[in-house]
Amino acid sequence: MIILIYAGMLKYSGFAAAGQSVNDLFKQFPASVKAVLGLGELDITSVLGYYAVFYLYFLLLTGVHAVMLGTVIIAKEEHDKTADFLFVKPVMRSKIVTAKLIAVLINITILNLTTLVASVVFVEMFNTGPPITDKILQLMGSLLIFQLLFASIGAGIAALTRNIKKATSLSASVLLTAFIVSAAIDLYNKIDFLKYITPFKYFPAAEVIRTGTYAPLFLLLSLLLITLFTAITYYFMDKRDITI
Amino acid sequence: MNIFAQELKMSAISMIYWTTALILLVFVFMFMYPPISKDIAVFESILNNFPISLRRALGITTLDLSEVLGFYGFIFVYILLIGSVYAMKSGISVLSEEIRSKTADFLLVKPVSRSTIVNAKILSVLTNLGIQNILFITLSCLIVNAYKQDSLDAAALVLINASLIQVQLFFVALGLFLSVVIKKIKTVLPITLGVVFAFFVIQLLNQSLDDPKLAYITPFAYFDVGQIIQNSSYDFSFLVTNFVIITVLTVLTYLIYQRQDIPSL
Amino acid sequence: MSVIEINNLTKYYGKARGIIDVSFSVNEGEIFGFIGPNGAGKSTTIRILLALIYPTSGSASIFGKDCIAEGPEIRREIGYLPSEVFYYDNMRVIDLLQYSASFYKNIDKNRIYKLAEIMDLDLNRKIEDLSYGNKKKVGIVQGLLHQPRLIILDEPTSGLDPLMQQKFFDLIHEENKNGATVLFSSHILSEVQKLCSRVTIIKEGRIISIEDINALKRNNYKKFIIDMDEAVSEDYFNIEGVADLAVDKTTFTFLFKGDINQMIDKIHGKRLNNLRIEEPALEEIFMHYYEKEE
Repeated sequence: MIILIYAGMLKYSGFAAAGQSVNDLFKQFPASVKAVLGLGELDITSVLGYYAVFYLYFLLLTGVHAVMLGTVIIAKEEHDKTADFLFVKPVMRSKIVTAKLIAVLINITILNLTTLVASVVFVEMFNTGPPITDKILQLMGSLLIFQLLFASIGAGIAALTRNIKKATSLSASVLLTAFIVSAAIDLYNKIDFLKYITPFKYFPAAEVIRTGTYAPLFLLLSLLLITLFTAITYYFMDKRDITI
Repeated sequence: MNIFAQELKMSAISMIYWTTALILLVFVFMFMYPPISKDIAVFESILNNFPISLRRALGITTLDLSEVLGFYGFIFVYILLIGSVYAMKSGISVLSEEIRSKTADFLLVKPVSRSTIVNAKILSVLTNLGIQNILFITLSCLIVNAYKQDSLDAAALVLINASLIQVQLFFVALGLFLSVVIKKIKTVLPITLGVVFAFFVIQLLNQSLDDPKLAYITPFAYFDVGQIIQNSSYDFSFLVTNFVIITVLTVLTYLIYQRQDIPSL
Repeated sequence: MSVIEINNLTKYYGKARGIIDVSFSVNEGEIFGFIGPNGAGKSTTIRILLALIYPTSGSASIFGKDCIAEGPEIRREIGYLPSEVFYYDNMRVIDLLQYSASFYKNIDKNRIYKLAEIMDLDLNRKIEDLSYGNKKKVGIVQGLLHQPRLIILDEPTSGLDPLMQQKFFDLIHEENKNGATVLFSSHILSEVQKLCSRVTIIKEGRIISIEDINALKRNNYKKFIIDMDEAVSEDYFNIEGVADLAVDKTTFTFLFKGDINQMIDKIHGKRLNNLRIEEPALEEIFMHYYEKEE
């Protein structure tokens, strides 16, 4: 978390130092090249367009955070050998899972809000054009969905696997694979159909900014997956034998 | 020797798994190379007309994506990313393993000194990395070679591939250091991913901002592929930086571990 | 000759107290008890002896060599059994024992099988499938397989059923007969009474007393249980040498240390329902020690 926020601050200080000259550079860009480089319809000369580039970094860092948090919080009781303590208390297991998921939710929201506040403050500091706070809000909204998706995937994986080592390895593989696939799609658009399997491609910043909404299909897919993995978490946590 | 053998036995499967992932990555990406190179060739002339400062800002300074080596250099950053995650994971887990699985009371009461233990454990990590890199370099050179059109700068290809282990050593050293500094490490991968991705994002940032100071912060910037292809050599100052950081972190690891209290169960 | 020599050993964990100014020595060939309630500092002391933790001040030596500086050499001759044992989960028992054996020179390989047979341990099972008690047996075998000259036991019997405890004690006795010195830490006094020749008592990080266990039991202390048939004041038996006096209606219970005739004189001429004079259990003597310090 601290590293994350630190990296965030670093980003903006770097932005402060070089933002202007980069903006100048981007002005000379022909549209055709931008398309190849995956910048699409983003107008990178504006603060908004420039900010959208950072969106990928947010995805990466919050993705790591969400998937690991989801995994660890579900898997840790047995690892810490505190399962015998917690699961014999007079509460239903589903209640424990609920409490844990709420904790994840709060944690994720705090991270999201931190990013939001930092974004708004720092962007406005360097913004010379019209305010873009509403667009930032939209981007943070899709970021939150993305976070929730990876957190639920992490929790689901933890509920399905027997020990924390396997769970974190599997979650890490899922995240890395999703990221690599999204990078491959960027590179080679003929495999665009793979975008359904990588959340990194669900809400591309350019789309969100251009349309001002989230693509309904991907919104639905996200909600479906979040529901599915949450259900898996509840179901398998209820079923599993507690071993220490 | 017995500790070394035991460590290797315990980590072999993970090493094979990660090495397979690396090679698979090269294979899949290179599979996309022929169609992409055709697409890119169209724009190549436009790109080449750009001022150098602009191209640097885009991270495509000297990388010619239509050339097999340029393309390989472009995807190599993902190889570095995965390889670094593995390296850091190994670095963090190898010394903290005894405390995490509570076997310190077994190993550390044996008639061996702590530095013997650290030696054996680091050696096992290095051996894994060595095997991984030999396998990876051999296979990736074969794969890249299969896609070459006319000539291929073999020296540059080897230099690019050899930068993997150097970045990995950075993360091993960092992992070792963190594992003796952070008191209670319960799970390895969350810290690993957090740290490696933080450095990775700094590198992405460095690519778009090209701030010379920023480049020293992240090892991903130490071995610039474009520059390697152009000069067939490494940047000396980064090479030294990397070496110094690795040495300092490793020495600190030995010193701290030597005097560390092993928490009771 | 003393095998363990501890001088003014102090350990703080940050600000938290570990042990303060602990000194004692263990002689060659004896079974030395190390007694105290939970959290008194027994494990801290033992972990310093094994160089798992480093002392804040003071020193400890084993076989005349400094525990910290010459740790590796010393540990060749030490067998250690912690109260809780953890091993590498995905190894088989025999693999673990052979790994353990590989750290020592001149190991008698048959000893693994002999010890495993005594402790009724299945060598081919995986560690992670073992029950707590069975893991403990692995611990016992791996602690003794190199025939250590010094055996350090830190609350070793938890998780062992009474039959296994007995076998374990027999094993320790035999090792002791063959020349091994034993440091036995426990809060269960009956074990110590059974096994040890001398004891030291630690409480809240400090050594309270070092005693010869026979001397402790043999002389002085007698336990009196007197059921009176006539009313006497509650203080009637509270004379010098009486400790832990408890009165329940007409029954007086206390420890007495001193001239036995004095007590007989007190009883003489009184009407009694019942009278018992016993050797006190070690527990009672120790309770007496603990309370005296408070």
